[in-house]
Amino acid sequence: MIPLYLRPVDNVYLRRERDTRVIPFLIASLLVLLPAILLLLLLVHWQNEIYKIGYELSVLEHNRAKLENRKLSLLAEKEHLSAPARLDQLAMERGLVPPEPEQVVIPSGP
Amino acid sequence: MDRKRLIIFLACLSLWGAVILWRLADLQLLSGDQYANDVLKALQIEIEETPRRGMIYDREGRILAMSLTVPSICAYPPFIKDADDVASRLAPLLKERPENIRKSILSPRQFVWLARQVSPSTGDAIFRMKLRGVGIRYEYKRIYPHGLLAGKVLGTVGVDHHGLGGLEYAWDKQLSGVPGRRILLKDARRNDIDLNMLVTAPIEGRDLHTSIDAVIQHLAEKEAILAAGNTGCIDISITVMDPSNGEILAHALAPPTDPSTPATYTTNGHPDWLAKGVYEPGSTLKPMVASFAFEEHRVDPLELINGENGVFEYKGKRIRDHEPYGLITFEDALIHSSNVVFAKVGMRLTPERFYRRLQELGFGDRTGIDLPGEERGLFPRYEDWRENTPAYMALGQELAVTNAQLIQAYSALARDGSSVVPHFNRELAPIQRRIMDADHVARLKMILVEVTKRGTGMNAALAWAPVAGKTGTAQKPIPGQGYVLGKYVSSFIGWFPVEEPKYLILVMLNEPRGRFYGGDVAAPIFHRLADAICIRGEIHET
Repeated sequence: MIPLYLRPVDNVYLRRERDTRVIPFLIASLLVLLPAILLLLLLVHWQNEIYKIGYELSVLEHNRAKLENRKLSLLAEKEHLSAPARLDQLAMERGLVPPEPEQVVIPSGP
Repeated sequence: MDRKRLIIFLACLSLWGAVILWRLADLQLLSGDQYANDVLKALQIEIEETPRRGMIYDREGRILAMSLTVPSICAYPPFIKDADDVASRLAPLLKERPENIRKSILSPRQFVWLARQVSPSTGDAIFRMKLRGVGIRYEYKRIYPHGLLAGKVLGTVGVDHHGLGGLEYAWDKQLSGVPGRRILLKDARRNDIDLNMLVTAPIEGRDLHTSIDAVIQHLAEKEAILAAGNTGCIDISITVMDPSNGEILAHALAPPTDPSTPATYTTNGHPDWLAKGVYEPGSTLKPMVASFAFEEHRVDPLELINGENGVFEYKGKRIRDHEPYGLITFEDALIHSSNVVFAKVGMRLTPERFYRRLQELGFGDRTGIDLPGEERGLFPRYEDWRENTPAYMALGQELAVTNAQLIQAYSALARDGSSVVPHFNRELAPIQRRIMDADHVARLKMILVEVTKRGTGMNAALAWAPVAGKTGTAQKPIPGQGYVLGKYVSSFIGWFPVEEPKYLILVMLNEPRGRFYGGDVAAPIFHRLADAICIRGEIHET
């Protein structure tokens, strides 16, 4: 079915013509509304971006905290492995004994 | 008629519209904030954001204590539908009986802890189970990477991450930082949605740089544990201080204390002997008495005094020597630690001035060492002194001291007359005070070197350098029984190198079994530890 506004007009007294009087009003309305709509779209986009970046930040922050914790865990492990008591124990197990003072020779000068 | 009906209909419609509009206005404008708050209350929870506790370092930058985040398991009981199922699934992971978990879950509270500070793998496993009403919170856990090393000195922290003892307690304010506030949103299952909404950011705790040298601490602890086994004493304390600035390099105690278990730390029952725990110093006080006697010109180092063949009766009480001495110079009396001679010299001192001088040395007052709960010791007021008090006090009896007081007093001997306050925090400036005359100190140093060459402290002598020091063997007074035979505190305190000293070491054994003289049980420990420190020091410096 042909839409009403496209249907041919058979009435000879009626003529389809543009209402030029409202064109300035339409243009003015468009000029006012378009920036407002664009601004609105921009605001929505910004808001979305803020949320997106916020989530990304949150994830990064979470990862940073996890990595920081991992780093500290490794530091703790390193400290544990290099603890004097542990090294002493390992040395003893391998038959090493501390030297007597007279056995220590300190090289003098270059 | 139709028009009338239309007007009524429109009026009703308008009224209905007005009611809706009013309700909308009420919801959005008038009570909007309140409803929004109610919703937020239901969805969000504001929690305290614990700051990371500062680390504790030794003097070489080794980490002695640090905090890691670990998961803790909590539950929101109103959101758990099948408590039995949740309890049975959590029990094997939490290594807890299901009925105990069930009891917690059925609690009428909104929030309960099921397990604090579990392993990360346990936390991950529970997270993957996605149990409705069961949550995971991350908390800080204090880790001591060196295990038992310096356990008593470092102290411990509770589940709230605040210090309960030792340096953790003494420097809690610095280490703790300032908590912040964080908002967590909850979903329908009461799971946390962390949107990183910090109300106030926490301020992280500041690190503590201590004077402890982990290697010397280990060497001292090794000697302490070995000696505790050999002598069967109740406990033993070994303190190593740098007398040039008062920094404590090591403070070893046996039996050792585990800082990672607050329950055993707080119920350990053994004092730290540095700030807490007092005892009569015995002969280790004699060098101080000698310095007063020199200052007051009451005795000359070479003056001959009758040692009464080891037994001297004074005011109805017998004072004995461990060996009988006849005529003996005052110098030799100090070298061989003659009680008879020192009792006689004590009687020559002006009691009030003697009292004041002991006070000036710091006895009866806190040293200011940075350990919690420092004791003043037991030092009778001058009004309470009896006629024979100076004689007994000259033997190191009738007063009780802490090890901090004793090493502070000896630091004056090692440093040409000015004492220094012992401390652990390297950021503290040394507090020095001149309390002895430099000339008398120089003379005393020579005598104290002789103590380790031919006196009671020969077992402390080192092959590679002279040592100045003094032995002490004090009978322990038991309340209501007086001095009890067989209960002694044996000690040796000395320093090396004698000039420009680097190490002042105090060894104290509480109730050793069998041999009990300070020269027999404490001096050898000093010798072995000094040897070990020297070897390590030489290699380290090279």
